[in-house]
Amino acid sequence: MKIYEALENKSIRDGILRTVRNLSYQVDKNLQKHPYLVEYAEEVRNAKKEIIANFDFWIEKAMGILQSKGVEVFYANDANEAIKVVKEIVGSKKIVVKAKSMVSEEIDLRKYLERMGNEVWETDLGELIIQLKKEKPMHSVLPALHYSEAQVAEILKKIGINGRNAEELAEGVRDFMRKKFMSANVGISGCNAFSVDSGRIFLIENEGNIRLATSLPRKYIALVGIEKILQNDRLALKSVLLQSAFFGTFPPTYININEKIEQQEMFVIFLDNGRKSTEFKEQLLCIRCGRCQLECPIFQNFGNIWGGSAYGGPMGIIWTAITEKKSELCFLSTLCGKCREICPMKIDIPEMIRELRRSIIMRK
Amino acid sequence: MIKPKLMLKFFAKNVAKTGNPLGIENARINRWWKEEQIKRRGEWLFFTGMLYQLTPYIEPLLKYIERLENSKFQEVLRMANFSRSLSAFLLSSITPRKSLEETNKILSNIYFILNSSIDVFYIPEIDTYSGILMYEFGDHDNFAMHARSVIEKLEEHGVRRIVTVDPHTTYALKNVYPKFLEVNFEVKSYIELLDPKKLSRSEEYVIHDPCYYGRYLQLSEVVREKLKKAGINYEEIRNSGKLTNCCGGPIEALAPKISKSIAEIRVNELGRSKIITMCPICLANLRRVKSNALDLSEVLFDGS
Ligand code: SF4
Repeated sequence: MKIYEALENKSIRDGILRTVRNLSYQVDKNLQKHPYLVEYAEEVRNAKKEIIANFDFWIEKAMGILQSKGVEVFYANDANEAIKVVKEIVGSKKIVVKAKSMVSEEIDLRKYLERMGNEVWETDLGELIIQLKKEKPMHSVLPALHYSEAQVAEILKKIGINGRNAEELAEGVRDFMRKKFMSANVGISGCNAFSVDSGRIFLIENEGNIRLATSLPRKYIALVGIEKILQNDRLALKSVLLQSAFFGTFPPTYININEKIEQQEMFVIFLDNGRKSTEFKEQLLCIRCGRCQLECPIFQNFGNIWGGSAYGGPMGIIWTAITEKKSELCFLSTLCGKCREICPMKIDIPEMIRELRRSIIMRK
Repeated sequence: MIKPKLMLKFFAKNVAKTGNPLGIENARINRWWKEEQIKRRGEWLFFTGMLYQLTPYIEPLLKYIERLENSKFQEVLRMANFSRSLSAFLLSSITPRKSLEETNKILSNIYFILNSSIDVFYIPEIDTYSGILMYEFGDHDNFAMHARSVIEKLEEHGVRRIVTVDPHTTYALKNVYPKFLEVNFEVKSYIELLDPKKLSRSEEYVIHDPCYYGRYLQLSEVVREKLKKAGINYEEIRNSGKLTNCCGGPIEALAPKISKSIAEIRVNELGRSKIITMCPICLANLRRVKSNALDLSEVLFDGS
C-alpha cells in the first residue's frame, strides 16, 4: 500500500483514532496511579545509555552467560546472517509457531521460512490477520487495528474459522492454534528485554500465545535486537512494565520470563543489522511502546504505511534509517514534536528527522 | 508528496532572489504599516518575519500543488519548469482581498496592542523572512547564508531587542540563529510583552496552541495568563499546551491533502467553540476545513 492509498482508506485513520483516544486516557491514568513509572523510565534510560556506549562489552557478556547455560548463541551482523542461522536450525517441512515480533518483520523471516517449505503460523490474532492478508503490521502492538470485526470474520474464513461475533471468532482461533502449538517443531519469539545477569528473555503479552509458542515446541529460537540488552532482571522487568504502561495496558496480562530448560533446545540470535554503527544512537533507547506512533498526526493517517518495510511512525522513520534505508518519507513529518513530548525515553525524534533530512538533501 | 528537493529548491531560490520563499517582493506584500503611525526608533523592534503577509498566497499555492501532489506528472517535471510555472501562477493568481485585509489588520492590531505597553518601533526595510523553512528542510547552508544577511541588517541598525509575532519566526531567531551565528539581540514573542485590557466577551473559546509555542518555546501558560487577564473564557482540552496536536500546516506545501486531513482531525478534536490560534500557518490551515478559527490578536483587540 502506498501513502495516498492509505489516505483514502479511512478505516486506518478511524481505527487509529478510536484506539488512541482510549489508550491515551489509559496512559494518563497509569501515570497518575503509578507515579514511580517516571522514575523507572529515567533509570532504564540511563541503563540503556550505558549499554549502547559499550555494546561490545555487554554483548560479549550476554553471549557468555547464555553459553554457560547450554544455549546455542549466534551473532548476526545483518538480516541475511540472521536468516541463514534460523534456516539452519529450522530446516524444512516443519511446523513453526511464531510469537508476534517486530524484529522478525525487520528481517522478513516468515517469508524465508515458508519458502523453505515450512508451515509457519503467527499466533497473535492481529498478526495472524496480517499474515492472511499478506500485509505489513499497521502498528507494532496492534497490527490489525484497521480491520473491523466483520472484516476479521471474513479474513478468518480463509483458514476455516467461522464465528458470528468476536468471542466466537477468538474461540475458533484458539482451537485452531491449539492444534498448531501441539504439533509445532519450532517456536520463535522476539525479545522485549534481555537480562545479562541471568540470561533471561522478557516478553509481555495480553493473549497468552507467546507462552505457548515458546514453551511447547522442542526447539525455541529467540531473536534479540542488541538494543534490548539490559544489565539485570530488575531493569529488564522495569523496561517491560514501562513498555506496557506507556502503550496503555498496565499491568500486562502476561509477563514471560524465558530461559533454558532441560526438555528444550534453545537458540538465541543477537541481531545488529545497523544498530551498532548507526548515527541515530538515541533511537536505540526505544522500548517500542508505540506511543509516539498513535499520538503522531502523520501516523494517524497512515499507520505503519508511513515508514519502511517493517517499522513506521515517528520511531519507525528512524528505525527504518537504522535497519534499512534513509527514506524521503521523513519529509512528511510536521516536526510538531509531540513524539518527543510523550516518549517515556524522551527520545528527540524531531531532531533526528531534521538530521535525516539534512543527509538526504546533501546527497546529490 | 511533492519531491522535497523540488520544493526546497523553489523556496531557496526565491529566498535568495526576493528574501521570501514565495518569491513575491517584500515591498508588495508588506503593506500593513502604510496607513499607520509607526515609529522608526524605540526599544523593541517589531519584526514580523513576513509569515502573516505570506499567508494570503498560501491558498493559490496549494491549489497549484494539489494537482501535482500525487501525480506521475511530477516525475517528468524539471526543476526549472516547476519553479517558473509555479511562480507565474502565484503572481497571476488573484489573492483574496479579504485575507489581505485581515493580515494587515492582524499586524496593526498587534503593533498597537504592544504600543500601549512597551516602546515598540518598526523599520519595514529590515523586516524579512527568517529562513526557517530551509532549516526544517535540512538545507543548513542556504539557511545560514540567509540568516547572516538578516542578522547583518539588524546589526546595522543597532537592534538589541526584538519582538516577534509568530511562533516560527520566534523559534528561528531565538533558538536556531544562535546555533549558527553570533547574535547580540534578545527575542521575545509579543504574547510575553503585551498587557491586555479587560474585555467583556461572552463567547466560549478553545485554544489551539501552535506546536512551537506549546512545546519548543513553552509559552502556553503565558497565553492563558493573558487571556485570563483580558477576561476571556476558554475551555481546556487534553491535547493542549505541551500536549497540543498539530494543525498539519508545516507540510502543506509538500502534501496539501495530507495536511488538510490532519487539520480535519484537529478541528474535530477542538469541538465547536471558536478556536483561538496565534500562528498564521495554523490559522490558514485550520480554516481550510471550515473551522471558526481566529487569531489571538483579533480576540484581544478591543475594536474588533
Ligand atoms: S520512540 Fe519512545 S514513544 Fe516511540 S516507541 Fe520508542 S520508546 Fe515508545
